[in-house]
Amino acid sequence: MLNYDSIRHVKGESIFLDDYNAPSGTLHGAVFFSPVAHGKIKNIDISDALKIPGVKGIYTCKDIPGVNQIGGIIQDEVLLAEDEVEFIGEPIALVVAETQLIARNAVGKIKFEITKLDVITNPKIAFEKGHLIIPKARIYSCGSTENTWKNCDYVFEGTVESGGQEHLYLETQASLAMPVEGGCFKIISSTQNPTGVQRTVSKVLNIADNKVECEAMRLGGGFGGKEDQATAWAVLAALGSYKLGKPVKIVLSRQEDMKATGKRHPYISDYKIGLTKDGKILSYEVAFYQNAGAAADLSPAILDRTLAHATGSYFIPNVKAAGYCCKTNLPPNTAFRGFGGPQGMFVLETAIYKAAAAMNMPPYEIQEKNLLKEGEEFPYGQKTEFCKAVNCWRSAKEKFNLDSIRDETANFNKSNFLFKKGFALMPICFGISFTNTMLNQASSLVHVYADGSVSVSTGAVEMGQGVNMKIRQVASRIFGIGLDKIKSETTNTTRNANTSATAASSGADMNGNATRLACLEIFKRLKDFYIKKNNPAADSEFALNDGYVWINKSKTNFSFEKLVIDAYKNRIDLSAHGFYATPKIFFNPETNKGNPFAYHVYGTAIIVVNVDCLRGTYKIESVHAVHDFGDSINPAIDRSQAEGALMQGIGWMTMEEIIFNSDGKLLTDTLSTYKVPDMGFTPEKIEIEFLENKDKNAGVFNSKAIGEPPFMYGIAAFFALVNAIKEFNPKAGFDISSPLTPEKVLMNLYAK
Amino acid sequence: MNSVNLKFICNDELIDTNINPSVTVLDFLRLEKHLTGTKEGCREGDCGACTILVGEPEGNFINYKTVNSCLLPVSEVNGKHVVSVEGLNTKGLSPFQAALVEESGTQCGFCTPGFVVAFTGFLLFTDSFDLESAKIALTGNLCRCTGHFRIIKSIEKILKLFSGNTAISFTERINLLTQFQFLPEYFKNIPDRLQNIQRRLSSSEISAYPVFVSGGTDLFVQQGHKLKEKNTVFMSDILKGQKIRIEDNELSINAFTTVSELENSSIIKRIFPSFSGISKLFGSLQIRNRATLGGNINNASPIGDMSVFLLALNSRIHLTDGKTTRSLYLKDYFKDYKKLDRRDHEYTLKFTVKIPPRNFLLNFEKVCKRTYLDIASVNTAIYLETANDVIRSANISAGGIAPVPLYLKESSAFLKDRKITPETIIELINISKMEISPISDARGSVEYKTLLLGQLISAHFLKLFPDVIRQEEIIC
Repeated sequence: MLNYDSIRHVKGESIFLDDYNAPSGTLHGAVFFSPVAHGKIKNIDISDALKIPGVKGIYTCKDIPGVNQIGGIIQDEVLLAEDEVEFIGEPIALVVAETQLIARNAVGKIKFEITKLDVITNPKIAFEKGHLIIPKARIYSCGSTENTWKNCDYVFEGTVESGGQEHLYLETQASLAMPVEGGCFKIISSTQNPTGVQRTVSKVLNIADNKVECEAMRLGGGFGGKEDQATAWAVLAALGSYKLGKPVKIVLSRQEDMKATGKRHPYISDYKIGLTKDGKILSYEVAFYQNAGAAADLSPAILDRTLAHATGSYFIPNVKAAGYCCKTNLPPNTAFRGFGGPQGMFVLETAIYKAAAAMNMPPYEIQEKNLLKEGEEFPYGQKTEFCKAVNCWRSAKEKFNLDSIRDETANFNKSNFLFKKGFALMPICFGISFTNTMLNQASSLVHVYADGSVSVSTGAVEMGQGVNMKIRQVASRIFGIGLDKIKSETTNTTRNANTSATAASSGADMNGNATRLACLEIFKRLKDFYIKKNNPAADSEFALNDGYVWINKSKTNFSFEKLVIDAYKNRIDLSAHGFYATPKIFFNPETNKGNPFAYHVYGTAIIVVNVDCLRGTYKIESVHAVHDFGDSINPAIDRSQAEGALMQGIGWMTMEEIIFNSDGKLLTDTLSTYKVPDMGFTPEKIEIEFLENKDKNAGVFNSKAIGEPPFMYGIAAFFALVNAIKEFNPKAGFDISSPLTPEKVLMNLYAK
Repeated sequence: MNSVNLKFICNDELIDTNINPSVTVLDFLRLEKHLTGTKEGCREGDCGACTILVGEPEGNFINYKTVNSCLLPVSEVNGKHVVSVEGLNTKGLSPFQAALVEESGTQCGFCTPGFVVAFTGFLLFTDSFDLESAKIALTGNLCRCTGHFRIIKSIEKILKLFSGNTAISFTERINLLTQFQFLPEYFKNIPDRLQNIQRRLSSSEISAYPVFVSGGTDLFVQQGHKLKEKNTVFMSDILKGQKIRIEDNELSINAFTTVSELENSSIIKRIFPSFSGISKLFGSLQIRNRATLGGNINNASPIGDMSVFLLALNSRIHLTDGKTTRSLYLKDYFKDYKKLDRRDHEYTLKFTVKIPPRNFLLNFEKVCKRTYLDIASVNTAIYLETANDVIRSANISAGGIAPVPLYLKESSAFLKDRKITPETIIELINISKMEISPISDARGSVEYKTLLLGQLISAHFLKLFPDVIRQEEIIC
C-alpha cells in the first residue's frame, strides 16, 4: 500500500507553511535573540531600529497583554526575556516589518547592554551547584541493589556521556498569525502540537481558547523538535498580529533555528553493574545527569522515559535508576525521537561492553542471557505481555547468520592491517504511550458527504510519518470504499479540540483508533438505516465492501454512494466524533510504579562497520534487523520509517556532534559545521525483516507504533565501531562518549 | 541600488525583467514567480532543497547543470534556461517521481523536489548511468526522514532503464527523456528559443569599492541579501574566453573556471588524470558547478581544497587591477588568516602551473566527519618527482593546520634527494609538525589535527609507493 500523499511531494505541490499564499499585507517578524548565555539586562535600545523605513513595530516583554509565560510542564519559560537572559538565542524582542529582510536588518540595529553572569554548560556542575529544574531526584527501582552487590561475581563502574542532537527537520520553524473578527486569531503553525500553540497564544494574549484557531497543514519534518519548540514562534507571530491588526509571518533561518531551539538532551551518566560469572546481570545502578538547558520544556517527562528505559531489553532483578534534571545555560533541550529512551539504553550497553571485555565474554552473550521474557517485570512495575525480545534476537541471529558475520569479520581483520571491521547487536524494547497518562487521548471528526466522499479530521499532524495515509486506510477499511474517496484534513483546533501533540510514536495508534470509532458510529447508522429500509432476514450479516453493501457475503446493487444519499434524504446524521483513550494504562508518579505503556515494541539489529585505521574514518557496511511491526497496516510506510529512524540513530551515535563552547555559544550552528548522514554514508545493505504477529494490542488494527523504536538500533553502530577500534588497539577504553566522530575514532585508535 | 535588464527562460516562460542582479534565483522563483516547489532549507548550499537546473546554450545544444538556487545570483542566468521542479512536471508522474512514490523514497516531502531536480539533471548530463555516478551527483541533497536508502532504491530502478546507454547526443537524449516523460515536451524547443534571446551586453567597468562575485558559493553564504546593496562586479562579465589552455609549457587556468569545468577538461584529464577522483571530495556537484578557482583561492579559507591542491602544484597566481598585471607564487599570496597579498581593485586573472614531467606523482587526502560535502578537518596534497625511489623534487601542502592553507616549506625541502624509506616518512612527519600551528575548533582539537596530518602524510606514501613502504613500518 503506497502513500498516495507522496504524489504531491514528488511534484513539489505539497504546501508547507512558507509556501502558503499568505494574505496580501502580511507583515514579517524577526526575533532579536540574546547574544549572551547568562546575564542581567541593563538596557535595550530599539530607537535606531524603529527608524528603519518599513519597520512597523518592535515589542518586548512589556508589550505582552497577558502572561509572559510559555512553559508547558513547569511555568518557567518566558516568551520574551524580562530582566535576565539564560541562554544564547533566548528571544528578547520581536521586530515586525514589511519584509523579512527589513525585519532582520532592524534586529541588527537593536542595542543591548548586559551584565554578564556565570555560564554553566555541564549538567554535573549544575547538579553540584544545586541548579535543578525539579529539585528532587526521580528514582525508579526494584529489588535491592545494595544487598545484591555482595552476591555478584563481578562488579564494574564507570561514567559515560552521550551527546546532543540537532533535529534538522528540513523545514525550519515557521508560523503565520492572522487577526480574525471579534478579537480572534487564526494561527497556522508548523507545530506538532496545535492545541499547545492555541493554549499558549490565548494565555499570552489574555483571550479565551475559543478565540484562537490553530492549524497545522503539514510539517517538513518534526522528530520532536516541533512538539514544544514550535510554540514560541507562533505566539510571537500572534503577538505581532495582535499589536498591529495585520497578519504576521515568522520563518526562522536555519542558523537562527539551530541557535535558538533546543535539541536532544546530552547526558552524563554514572553506572555500576553487577553480574554472575556466567553473565547474568543481578544488579544495576545508574545516575543520569540530564542537561536540560535553561528551562524545563519537556525535560522532566523525557527524564522519566530515560528511567523507564534504563534497563533496555533486559530483565534485571535489582535496579536503582536515579535521574537529575539539571539546569544549564543552553537552549531548553526538548523532545527528540526516542524521548530520553536512547540515552537510558546507551548507558546499560556501555556497562555490558565493559563487563564483557573484563570477563572475556562476547558482549552478545551477556546481552542474550539477560533478554526479557514473558511476564517479567520492569522496574516501573509493568509486566511484559506478548514479549518478543528473545524471538527477535533469535530470528536475527538465525536469519542473518551471526556465526558467519563473526567469522567473516575475524577473517577480514586477520588479513587486513589498516582496515578493521566490527559488528554489534542491539536489542530494543520501547514502551508505547505518553509517559504522562493524561495525554493518551485523541479525537476524530468524520464527515460523510452526500456524494459519498469522506473527510477525516483528527489531532494527528502529518510530518512525513504517513499518519494521514494510515487514517485514510482506517476509514477505507470500515466503509469498504477506495482511498480516493477519503481525505485526511489538516489538523485544526476548531475541528478537534484538546488534542495531544503528535508525538510518542502514538499518532496513528490513537488518532487511528479514534477514527475507527467515529467511522464505526456512522457505519452503525448506515447499517440500521439499510436494515430498516430493506428488511433483510432478521439475522442477516451487513457489510460494506468494494464500495457496495453486502448482505450475507453477497454483493447487493446498493453502492456506498446510493446508501449515503438515501440516508441523507432520510435525515440520518452522516457525521460522527470519535474519542479514544488508551485503555488499561496508569502510573503513580509518587511510587513510580504502574502500567504506563499500552504495549512494547521489540526488535534486534546487527550492524557491521569498517574502520580505516590510518585515517580514522569509517563506513557502516550493513544493517540487518528483525523488527516487531505487529500487524502493520502499511508495511511500505513502516519500513521507510524504520530505516529513517535507524539512520538518525546511527547519526546520533557517529557523526552528529553538537559543540557548545564554555560561553554557551553553539559552534555547530550551520549545516557546514553540523553534519548528518547523507547518501554517501548510507549502508549498502539495510535489511529489515518483519516479525509480523497478530497479537492483540492497543495499536490500530493490531499494528504497532513505528516512529521511535528503530532509532535505538543506531546504538549498535557505536559499539561495532568500538569493537573495530579494539581490534586495532586493544588499549582503547570503553568509556568513550558518543558521538564516535572520526576524531574520537582516530584518537582512540592511537591511544596509548 | 542597481537594477539590470535580464532575459531568460524560466521553465516554459520567457522572462524579461528589470531586477537587482544580486537577488538569488531562489528568491526570484519563490517570491516573484510564486513557484514554491523549490525550498529554502539552509541558504548555504548544504541541503540541496533549492536545487534547480540551469541550461546554458553551447553551440546548438544546451548544457544543463544542477546548482543551488540559494547561492545563485539571478544575473548569472541571463540568456539561460532555469528549470525548477514545476518545469519538470508532466501530466502524470515522471518515472523517477513514480519510483520515489513506489519505493517510499519520500516522507515529509520537503527535500523531495530537490532530489527530483538533481536526479533528472543527472539524466540530462551524465555519460555514465551507474549508481556510483548518480550518488555523486546527489551528494548535495540531504533527506532527514528516509535515511536515503529508499531514495537509492528509486534511483536503481531508473538506472535499469538506461543500462547500456553511455554517451548520447543532446538531441537523442532530450527525445528519450521526453518520450519517457522525465521531461515535458517543451524542452525540445528550448535551444531555438534561447537562440532568440539577446544576451546582455555587459560592462566591464569596475565601480568604487567593488565586491567581486565569482561563483558566489561562499560569498552568498556570508553576505547573502547584503550583496543587493553593494557594487557587485560579476567575474563572469570580465573573465571570458577559453578557460583552460596550455601556453609556453604551462597550464593556464582562467580564475573563473569552475571545479566541474576543471574536472571535465580534456587537458586536465590528460595531465592530472587523478583530479576527477579528487574533486569529488570538494563540496557537492551543485557547488562544484558554480565554485570557481579564483573564488576558492581568494576566499582564503585555511582549509580550501583547491588552495591546498594548487599549492602542491606550486602554482602561480596572476592578478590585475585592470591596467597592470603581476604574478606571484600562490604560497606567497596567503599572508595570514583571511589576509591576502591583494590590493584594492585587484582581481585574479588566472593560475599557471608548470607542466610536470612524465614521472611525477600526485596525491590528495582529506578527512572530515562526512566523506562528501563536508569541510576538512585536515586536507593535504603532495607532488613528487622521483627516480629509483629517490625524490628529486617535492611539494607538500596542508589545510586546517595553520591560519592559511600552508605550503609545508621545510617538509618539502627535507624530501629533496631522500630515498623513500620508513625512516624518511617518520622524520618527515616530525618536521611537518614543527611547521604547523593548528587551533581547536568545531573541526577538531589541536591534538587531533596534529595526529591526523601525520596519518595523512603516511597515507600519501602508502598510496603512492605501495610496493616500497609497508603499512606496519610506518604506523606506530
